[in-house]
Amino acid sequence: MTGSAANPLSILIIGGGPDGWLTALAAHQAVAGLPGASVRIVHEEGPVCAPALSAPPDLRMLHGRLGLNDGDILARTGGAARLGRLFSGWRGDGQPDFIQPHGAIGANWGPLHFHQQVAAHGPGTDDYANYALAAQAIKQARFAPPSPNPRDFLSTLDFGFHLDCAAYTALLRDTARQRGIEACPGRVTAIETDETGLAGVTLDKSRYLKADLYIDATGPEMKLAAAINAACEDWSDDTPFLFEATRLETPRSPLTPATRIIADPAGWHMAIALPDATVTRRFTATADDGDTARLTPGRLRTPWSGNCLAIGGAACRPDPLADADLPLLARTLLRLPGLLPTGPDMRAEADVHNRAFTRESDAARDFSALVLGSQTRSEPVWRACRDAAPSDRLAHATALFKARGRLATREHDIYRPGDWVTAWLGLGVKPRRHDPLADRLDPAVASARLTQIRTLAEQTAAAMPDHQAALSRLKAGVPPA
Amino acid sequence: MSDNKVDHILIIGGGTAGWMCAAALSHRLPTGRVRIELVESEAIGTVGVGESTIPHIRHFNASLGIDEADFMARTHATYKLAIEFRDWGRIGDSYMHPFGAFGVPGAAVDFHHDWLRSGGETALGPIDDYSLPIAMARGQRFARPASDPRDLASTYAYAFQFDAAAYARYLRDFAEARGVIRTEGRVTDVQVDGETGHVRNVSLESGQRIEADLFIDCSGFRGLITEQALATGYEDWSHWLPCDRAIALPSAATGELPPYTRATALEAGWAWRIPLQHRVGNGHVYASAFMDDERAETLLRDQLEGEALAEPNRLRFLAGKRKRQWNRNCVAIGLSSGFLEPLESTSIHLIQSAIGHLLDLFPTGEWDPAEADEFNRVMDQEYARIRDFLILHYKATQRDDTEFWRHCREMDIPDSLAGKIEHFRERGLIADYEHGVFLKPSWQAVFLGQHITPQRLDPRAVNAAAGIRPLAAELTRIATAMPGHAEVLSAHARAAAD
Repeated sequence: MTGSAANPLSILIIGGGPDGWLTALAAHQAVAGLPGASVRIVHEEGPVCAPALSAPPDLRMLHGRLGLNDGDILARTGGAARLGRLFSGWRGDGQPDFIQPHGAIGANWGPLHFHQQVAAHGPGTDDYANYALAAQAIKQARFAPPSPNPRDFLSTLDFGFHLDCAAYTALLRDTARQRGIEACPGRVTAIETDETGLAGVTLDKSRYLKADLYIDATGPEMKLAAAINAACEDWSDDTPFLFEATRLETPRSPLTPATRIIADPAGWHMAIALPDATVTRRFTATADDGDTARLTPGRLRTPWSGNCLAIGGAACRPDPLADADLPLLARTLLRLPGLLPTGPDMRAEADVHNRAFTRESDAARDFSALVLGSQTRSEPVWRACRDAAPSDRLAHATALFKARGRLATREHDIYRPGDWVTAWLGLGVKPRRHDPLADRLDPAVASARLTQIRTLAEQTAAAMPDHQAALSRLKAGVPPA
Repeated sequence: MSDNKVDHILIIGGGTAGWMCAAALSHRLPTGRVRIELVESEAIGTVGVGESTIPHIRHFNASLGIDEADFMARTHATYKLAIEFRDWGRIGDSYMHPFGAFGVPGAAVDFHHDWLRSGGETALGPIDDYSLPIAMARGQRFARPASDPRDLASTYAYAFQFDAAAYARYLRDFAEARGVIRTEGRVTDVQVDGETGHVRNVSLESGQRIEADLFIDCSGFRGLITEQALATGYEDWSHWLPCDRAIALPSAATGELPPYTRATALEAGWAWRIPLQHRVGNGHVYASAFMDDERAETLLRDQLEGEALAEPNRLRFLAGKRKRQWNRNCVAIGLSSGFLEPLESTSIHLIQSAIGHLLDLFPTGEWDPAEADEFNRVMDQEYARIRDFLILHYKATQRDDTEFWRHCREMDIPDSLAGKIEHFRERGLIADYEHGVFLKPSWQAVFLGQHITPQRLDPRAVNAAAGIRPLAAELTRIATAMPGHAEVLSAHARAAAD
């Protein structure tokens, strides 16, 4: 039996981007303690990802699990903190920008979500996100790591990252090497299959590698998965903005600790602010300059098939608006230790993963559909976005939110409730009325509590160091103030 | 708020479901603005088979501010830590489904992998030996769980076994003290608005007519409003759960006070034994296609440990659920919403869950269909998950001594359950639900207790019999140091009497 000492488990990862290296670290940690088990990664040289990554706090959760230090990562890779996303230009009626902050937004009262309290006892739902410390910090371009002390308001903060992809990849690669993970540079030139799935891969026409479990981290190319299992769902009809162009711009000051998501007449772009440059990824409906790549949104029907697990962009390519690549990867990797194979038959492991992954990626698809379907721009290409029929699940969730601001329960969601609420409210989808539960709060008490939270958020943010200064301090090895 | 408020609620039926609704609604809705009325008839008996509960009931009681000692004294309640299943996988078997985890808290690998890798029952004894609530149940001990999650004494929860009729009376006092108006009478007519399809009012035998904005149908199996007036329809699950009758028969207390319920599989169904302070609740759930009523009664009487205290109470039902639990302005709660046999003591839980979701989604008065859709979606999921867990007990059997058990072994099961069984049989995997009553330890107990053994184990599981074995003795030691169940109950009775 594979997995026993006599025939130890071997895992082979193909793909050298952050996805591949994070997977190598996760797999190595999962098999620690299995006698003789091995994890090997084959990485191709050359560009493996966009110049910059914008990652929500899910990546931080994964770092924590893998024993990676966030301050260290920011300092060593020249990265920046991300406290949320800042949306501009999504409202045709000239309504202002809106923020989707990380960390807590106020505090729920039993099943009564915080935005209901703001609607019933505060200044109205437009103000909802402003109760989050992250939103105030974004406005003031400030950053400090969250406090571990739950009595400190700073403990309500959470953050993600803006990362220089090459530097981050190098850091992950160095960490993998320090941990003794075998890494071989090379290109897969041939893939051999048999009735159970993959039988082996040839590197550079010379070296032949075999493993029990193959992990495809080759992104949209799906090198391994395509050899055995190419049944894909194509999501290209979900959005007209399928052409991507990436640009480097000079850094902006102050350094915004948020990813800006900006819509314009012909498409949209995200701006990822790093201390040394701002990277923009622009998405349009036509390839207007030479340097564009075409997106291939969609997913594999069974990302784990036979002895091959596809992860990251090989498993699913959600619309970049969904902000879902790293959350999907993080969940896959957190699940992996409990699903280690024990032999050639991995159907049970695969089925458990595939069921969960389907629900998680459904959430991603619904989220981008929500944004594209609810924006109110007037250009024909944007108007056409609103004609797409939402999934039943999204239609129900939206109807319930409109009826009373309530969130439909959803299993395997990759978003926090506040992410859905800020998107709806920010795009002008408003509940017709607040939840009657909110009327059970004493108005004076509730309103005083709202003022208190708002004040705490503003004051705590004002006391945080400037984002740029905080990063410089981290780089210099000075502990946070 | 808009003008079309929901400020008059009529609850039809005053059994456990009706009075639980009345108590919770009167406690949680703004008093003075909402009028809550309950119609019940002394002439119509209540079913009250739900005498055994699961730990969630404590949240319900706590949300009403009910004092545990007082409630237990008034309902003759005992504590409950587990259910013992006898003769399910094979005749002669016995295993416990505990309200708590197996093994030590916080382990990276689920305990059954380590237990099996280390030799399983042969080397380590039954997995039941590695659960604190089971050790407590066997030793008839009780204490409340510790609060530190690293402490072994924190690894369990508890529920109650009580007299459901006494519980309904207890909640009636609670609800009436909070302004709920009780009207004695039989409903003879229900008026439905031809345009909206909403129920407008009900008429009683006395001629009295009661209007309401929201009707809560707690009228039992027949579904006086939801079915008889609104023709909601019923989803029949009897092809998966063929038992369709029950006989209930209380017997005299035996002097023992086991803090657990017993479910013994018989020829074409199963018998419950629920020990209360003053008597023992017994019943036999069976499939009429496989057994006649007379034989069913004989088998039940054979199970009694004390003398019978009443005439047998006979019930008929059909496993399944109402197609829409919330239809128009009527929410069905209790047996009017569906029926799942009390094998895992879920009847009261389903009532509690429906009340909780109704309060969370309390209608705004605009009757937006999204509200009912969400309620129905959540309750459908709750029903389907309990259903699957119940079917598992019948499907995972090696019994072939009767036509009934041969039928159960061979029957088709829902895909959702087939997947779960396959994942466990293949690789010992139990995928966690994010929402659902029965979590990992429950599935572990039933899978292993009914001989579904994983063919492959987590490769991280270690063969460490010498390291695991002392845990059994440690759990027994912790349980033995706790006070006896009977002593704890007497202390409660003294406290309640003061």
